Amino acid sequence: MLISIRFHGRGGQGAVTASKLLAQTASEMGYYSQSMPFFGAERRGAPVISFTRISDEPIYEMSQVYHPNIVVVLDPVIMKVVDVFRGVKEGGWIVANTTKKPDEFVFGQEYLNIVAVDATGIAIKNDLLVAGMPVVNTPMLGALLRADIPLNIEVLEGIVARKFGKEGKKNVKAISEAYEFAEVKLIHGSGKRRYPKKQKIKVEFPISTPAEGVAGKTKLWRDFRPEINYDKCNDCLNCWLHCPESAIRLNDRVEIDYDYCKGCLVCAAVCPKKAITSEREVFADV
Amino acid sequence: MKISEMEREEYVLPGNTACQGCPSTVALRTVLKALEGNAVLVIPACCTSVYMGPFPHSAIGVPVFNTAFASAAATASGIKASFELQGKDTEVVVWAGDGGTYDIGLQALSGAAERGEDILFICYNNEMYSNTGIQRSGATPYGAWTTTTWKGKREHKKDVSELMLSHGIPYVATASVGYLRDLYEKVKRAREIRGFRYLEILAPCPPGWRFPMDKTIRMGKLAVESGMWILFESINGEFRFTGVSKSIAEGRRKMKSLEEYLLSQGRFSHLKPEDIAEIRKYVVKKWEKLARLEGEVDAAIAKFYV
Repeated sequence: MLISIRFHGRGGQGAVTASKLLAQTASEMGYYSQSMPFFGAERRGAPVISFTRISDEPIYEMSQVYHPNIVVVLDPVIMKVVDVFRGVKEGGWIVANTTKKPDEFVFGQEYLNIVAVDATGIAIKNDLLVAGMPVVNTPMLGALLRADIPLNIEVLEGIVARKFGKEGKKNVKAISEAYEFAEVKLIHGSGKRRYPKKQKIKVEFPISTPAEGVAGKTKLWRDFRPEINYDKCNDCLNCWLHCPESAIRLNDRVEIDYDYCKGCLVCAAVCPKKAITSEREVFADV
Repeated sequence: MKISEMEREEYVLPGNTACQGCPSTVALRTVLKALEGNAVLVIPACCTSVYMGPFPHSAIGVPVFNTAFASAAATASGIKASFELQGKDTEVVVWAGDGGTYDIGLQALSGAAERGEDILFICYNNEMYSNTGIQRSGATPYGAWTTTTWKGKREHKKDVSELMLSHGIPYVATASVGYLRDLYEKVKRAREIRGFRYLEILAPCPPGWRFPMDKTIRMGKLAVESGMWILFESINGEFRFTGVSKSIAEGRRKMKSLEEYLLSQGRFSHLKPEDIAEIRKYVVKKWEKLARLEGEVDAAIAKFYV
């Protein structure tokens, strides 16, 4: 299960906060979630988008959401400027702050579920205003829970109550009102959407595992071949300690691993007994 | 510590892409042995992130997190916080070159040190950006040739180990690839201490410093014997010289000549006598500064308790 949600709004309406609150709700209910805003000009009134992903498995996609299951439209008129239906999956959900009826929506998909709610009206009714702007993000989250999303309204209300302190009560009331009054309907569209279908991209978290010979058999780097004269060797292990390649193995005695020895001859240089000599290497098998 | 008592398991696996005679592999190998493999490495851009090999394999036998140049200490802080939540006592080690320590990684390093994050930050210092083809760094000493200092660098290096001393963290030490047993013991001691620990290892780089590849260990010793690199350790503010540097500080051992160290490297081969005199002046000043530090610590404690 992976639910991707895209929020459309205008700077100041709280689209980013809404996406964060939603991710937090999911996280508190034991789901994996992420939330991120689109980085652009973040000024008041400019169209903004923000994203949330919710899943019961770890989420490795870190990109923007291009093919959402659910789109939340916080602003009633932004649909004129931005194509909020873009990339929405067939049978997906549009949760819109609007005074229109669900039947009045027109889109290119075959069918979509429309959740229509007058969040601006609910905000004004509950005196939810910041700097003169109706706060629509919290009621929109209430309406969003009417969509196909396994989140619990009590958990959301708890988080909102905690976050907004003395304003919390009004927000919680707006959430439950929006949840209650939202109108949900399955609507047929024209079915003529022009967008290409999503290509299946498998996202994997790349994890390397330890292995010898990541650069192959590095013996080929060798111009000189160190040889241990065991008659002189006193098992001091200096060559083993100082080998930069870990190519000296400790078995019953020190042994050079000629598959990987690069022939730097550090071993010969550190040997106190001068027991390591070197000869020119010539590979017969190359 | 006898060599035979050291951890035998290998954590830097053979067949990696490091240069012949690489000081970084041999130092990292020793560090991971000292930690007995109970470590997670955080590696910013540096030679190690290259020689560990490409996906899907790694030449390093412990988990490695490759991170961006500037953020190694911050990344390690986060990993450590997660381990603390999970109740795991795994050492989180930053393994950074001098670029990721002196230059690009400095603010994250300083921030993590100030916050007292419980991590071990190790800088393997080869005094230049070797991975990208030998450019000057903040750790490049005066007079050294690099591809961006054709006639020799005209500035002295900054000293981050001294900077870390002034951060007041519980453990600061220097080591050299020439003395791996000393390095092993210092990592063991650092492991016993909680809080932010900083260890800097001099890593003589054969292609960068222009000397024969079998002389890596020799060069690491010579740097200390000539006084250019000073071994010390500061545990909870108590500063002391260690190893050969201690013998030199106590007058039990004569320093080798600077010329012997400098002129055995191609990067210093163009030096004029006045350049060497300038380097000597710097080295003497540094010794005096550190010697004072050792004395002053004792004096300050004495004064406090009288």
